[in-house]
Amino acid sequence: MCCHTLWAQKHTISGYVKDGKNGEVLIGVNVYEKGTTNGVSTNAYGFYSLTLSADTHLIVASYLGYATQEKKISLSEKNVVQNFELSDASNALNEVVVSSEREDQNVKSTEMSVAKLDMKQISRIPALLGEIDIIRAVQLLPGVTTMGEGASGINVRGGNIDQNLILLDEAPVYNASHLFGFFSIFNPDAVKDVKIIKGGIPAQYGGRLSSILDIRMKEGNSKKLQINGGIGTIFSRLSIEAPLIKDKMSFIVAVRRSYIDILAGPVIKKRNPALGNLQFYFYDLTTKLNYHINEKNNLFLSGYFGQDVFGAGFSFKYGNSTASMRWNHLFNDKLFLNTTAFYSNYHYGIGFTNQGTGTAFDWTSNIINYSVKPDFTYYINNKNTMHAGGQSIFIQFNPGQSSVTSNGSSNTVILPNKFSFENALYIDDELKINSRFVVQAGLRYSLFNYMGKGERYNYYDTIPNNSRRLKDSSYYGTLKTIAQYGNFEPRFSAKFDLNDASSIKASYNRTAQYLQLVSNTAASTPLDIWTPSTNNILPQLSDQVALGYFRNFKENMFESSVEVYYKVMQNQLDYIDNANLLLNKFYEGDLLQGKGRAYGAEFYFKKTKGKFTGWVSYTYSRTLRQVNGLSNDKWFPSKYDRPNNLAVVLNYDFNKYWNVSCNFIYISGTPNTFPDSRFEIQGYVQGYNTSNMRNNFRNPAYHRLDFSATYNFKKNDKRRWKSSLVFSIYNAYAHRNTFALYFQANPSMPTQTQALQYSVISTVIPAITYNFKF
Amino acid sequence: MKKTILLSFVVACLALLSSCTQVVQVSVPNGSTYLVVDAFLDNGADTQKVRLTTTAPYFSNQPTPGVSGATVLLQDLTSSKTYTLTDDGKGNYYQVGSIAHDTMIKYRHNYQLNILYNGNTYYATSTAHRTIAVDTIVFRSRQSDVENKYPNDTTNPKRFFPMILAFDSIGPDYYWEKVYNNGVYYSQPRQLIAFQDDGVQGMDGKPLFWSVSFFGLTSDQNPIHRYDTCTVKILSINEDTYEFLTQLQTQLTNAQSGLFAVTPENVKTNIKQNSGTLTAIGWFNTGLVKGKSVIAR
Repeated sequence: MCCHTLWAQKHTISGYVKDGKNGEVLIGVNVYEKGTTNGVSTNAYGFYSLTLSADTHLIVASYLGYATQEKKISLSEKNVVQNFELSDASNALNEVVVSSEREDQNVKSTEMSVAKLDMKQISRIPALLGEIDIIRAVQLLPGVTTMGEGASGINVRGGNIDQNLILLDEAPVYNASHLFGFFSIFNPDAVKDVKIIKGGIPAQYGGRLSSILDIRMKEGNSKKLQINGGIGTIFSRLSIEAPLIKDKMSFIVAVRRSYIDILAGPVIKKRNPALGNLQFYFYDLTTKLNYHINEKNNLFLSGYFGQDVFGAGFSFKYGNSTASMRWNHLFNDKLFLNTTAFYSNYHYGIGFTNQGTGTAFDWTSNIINYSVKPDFTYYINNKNTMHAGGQSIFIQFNPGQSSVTSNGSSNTVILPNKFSFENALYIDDELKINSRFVVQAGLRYSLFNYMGKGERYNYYDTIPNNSRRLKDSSYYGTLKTIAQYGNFEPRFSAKFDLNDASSIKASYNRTAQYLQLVSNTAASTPLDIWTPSTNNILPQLSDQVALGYFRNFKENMFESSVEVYYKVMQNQLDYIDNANLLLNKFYEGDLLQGKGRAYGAEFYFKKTKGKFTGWVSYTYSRTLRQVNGLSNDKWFPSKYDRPNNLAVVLNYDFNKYWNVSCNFIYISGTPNTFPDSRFEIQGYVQGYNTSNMRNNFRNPAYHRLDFSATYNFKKNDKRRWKSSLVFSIYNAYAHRNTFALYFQANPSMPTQTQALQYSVISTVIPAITYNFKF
Repeated sequence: MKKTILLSFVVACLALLSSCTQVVQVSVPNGSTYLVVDAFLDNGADTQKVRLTTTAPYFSNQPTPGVSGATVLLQDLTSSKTYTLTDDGKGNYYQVGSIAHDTMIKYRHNYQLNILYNGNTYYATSTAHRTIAVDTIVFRSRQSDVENKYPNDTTNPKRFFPMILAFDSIGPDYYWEKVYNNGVYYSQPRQLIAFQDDGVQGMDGKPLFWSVSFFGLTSDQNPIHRYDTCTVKILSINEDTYEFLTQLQTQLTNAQSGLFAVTPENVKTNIKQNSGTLTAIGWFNTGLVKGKSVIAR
């Protein structure tokens, strides 16, 4: 009876944690009872809920870079709603208690294989042409690589670029690159929080094998008008954020436009008049509106629209549009619901006209998504938090419609549209077993339908290195299932504290993926085609185990971690030699599927406080493939196999005005297939790989050093105007990094064969950017 | 056709990206030695030959060695005739003697090439498909085109660019179009034009006048000027020969494709092996050829 009474006498404290200066909610803030392990961290909407005994408690809200707040809360009578507004550590005022409590999220949270970057950190990293970039910053984290400048996307723990779920306010982005991957589509002025999850992926996320890149946009300043902008070498940006109704409704609009065409156009035209009508630019618009309806309801509308246009006598365009609407609803102090509905459209096209010969070519393609995603969080008690929800996503693939016009007659090739419908349900529970041991276990079930209207193609069996020929096809009407797959995806992670400053974490997850990017170019290009799983393309599956040791030193001034992982992947997409994927209706006949495995060790050491900050990340990893019909059926290194990956990022604040940064990157070269012999046919000299082993060699290693220096203009306290100049030097020692290595006969002397190295950037690239804010 | 257009697109992209390519030294161990069969036979007036060579180390930088001492037989499966090709001791196997004046390759006949070398036996099959006549070759020589294409050339700006017109037949056909200037073949990989005619088919499969522009493919080294003789030959090829030539061209021009380049891969072969341990690669095609020569004016 006594115990029952005690059990009953519990109350909940809940609320939101915001930045006191601009009203932005803060994600991942630790809210806990001082001196105990009773605590939670705020969710993606800044909400927390903590159930404690009916008593008076000292509640602490702590977040890196902000002054920690403590509040005495009495829960003896009833549940309490308590919002926190934290202020910047550097501007901390006296009334706030600046405590020495630890910001030890990396050690204390069950999350592992997760890296978070805040915009302050990202803005310090020396950037190409002085433009800070989220994807390029993420590439400096352990376990993340890229195929090089000019390649879209990232490779995470040996995965393909299509195996990352890139979410912008929960809407997926299919191609996150501008200008062939030199920049990403995320406008840094509009981004609040960046998190990459490489392992131990919680059950709420699904649909991709390797990682989740979760990017959250700012809500927009809810206190006052704020304008940010930058004038750079290659593009300029401007963002406006303001309250529409103070503390209730605010918005942000951020735009960017490149002007390389305007600056470089005349020069290029002079050099090559054939490129007279040069078009070479990108733009994007990122916007968000949020409305705090009442204490129980919040509404967010986010949109992104961006396009790259590239042409001269031809045109080549690609772009993403996404729109998402989210509604937060609090049923009570313990039950939080977020419902997201989104639309996403990635489109590209090529047009080409030659008036001289009367030939024209036109190709357009897109992929459209519609989705609804309810997600419940139930804060059962201070030891147990549960997530449950589901997702439905309908995808329409329009792989291409092309028309060739020649002498007045035209021929249209229509690649048939494809439709898929994916549904998932999940449940996930985070349980504190005792003060040192926490487990999180979840299960996701995904059900995928490849649907009509469309043709189901059946192919004959594989003859090594030949296209499989079409056997027969049958027609399926609208919404009729052509192929169906279902998968249980268990997720598990656990954390055990060794002591106050160190912990061990372990995780296992299975992930399933039902759509893929079909590409056999050396690096992925915006022209690659997305395709769903079909009766011929089985869903990709991945099982990953990871183990990590996390340790902080000197009152969390230093964070360090070591993680090892092992991953087994099924149904990895590969291609026969000389696959014909472009505008080919029967491209499935050129695809192969095989096994993959990846393993590695990631070391991370970071200094988070003081004048001198930065990190060192080193990864040793391998990623291998085995595909019947390729490489004599033996295991071979996959395209992304780059064993050594080192990144060093250093920042130093000299004084209020000057800070300098530098980074250094070293990554093993990408594997490549080199010919070991040559043969002659019809007068042409061509290489031949008699070993028949794929990726039998490696291109030279990639390394690069960058610097930047920022000068903050003297602040005038009377004026709100703040500005800075960023000087940057990219590729400081002008290293010609190999993007690809080719073998060919010398055109003027065909018996001379040579290896040609293609570099995208071969010089030092200096730049100046002026940033302002008021 | 598609290929040519996409190639033009890629070339234009590259000009913009101002790719930086440099020759580098790479060490690659020597591979195994394979027998290479180069057998493109047609009904043209030239002496028909099959060339046998071996592969050589990639950076050997000299012509690959010819293989003599093999027995090379061409079997006409349709008329059950067998032709023996004569070894010249340098790796060439010619049509000589009594068969020299006989046209071995005939429309719709099926052929098998048999090779016996050092106890290894190989064979390959092919069909001779129809070809089409070149109807007209027209030349364009707009000053502006010349200036745009060759802005630095002040020596002889009057260049001619041929456009080839032919009358297509119903059905999918595959051709290899070869262009010569004063008898010199345009042999650059980018000047290899293997094409499929279905990209230019009329609405109901009706025959259509089609054109292939050689505009932009004539090289700086061998421009066509007034009074030069331009010759165009159209050789019929099998469907898999079209695939082979397309693959070959993709690989040969890969270095120019920059960001769009594919990974280096082995091109296919249609030489099959009956017995022996020496692997053979290469290609066998039989086809009919028609051509036309016109003086540029």
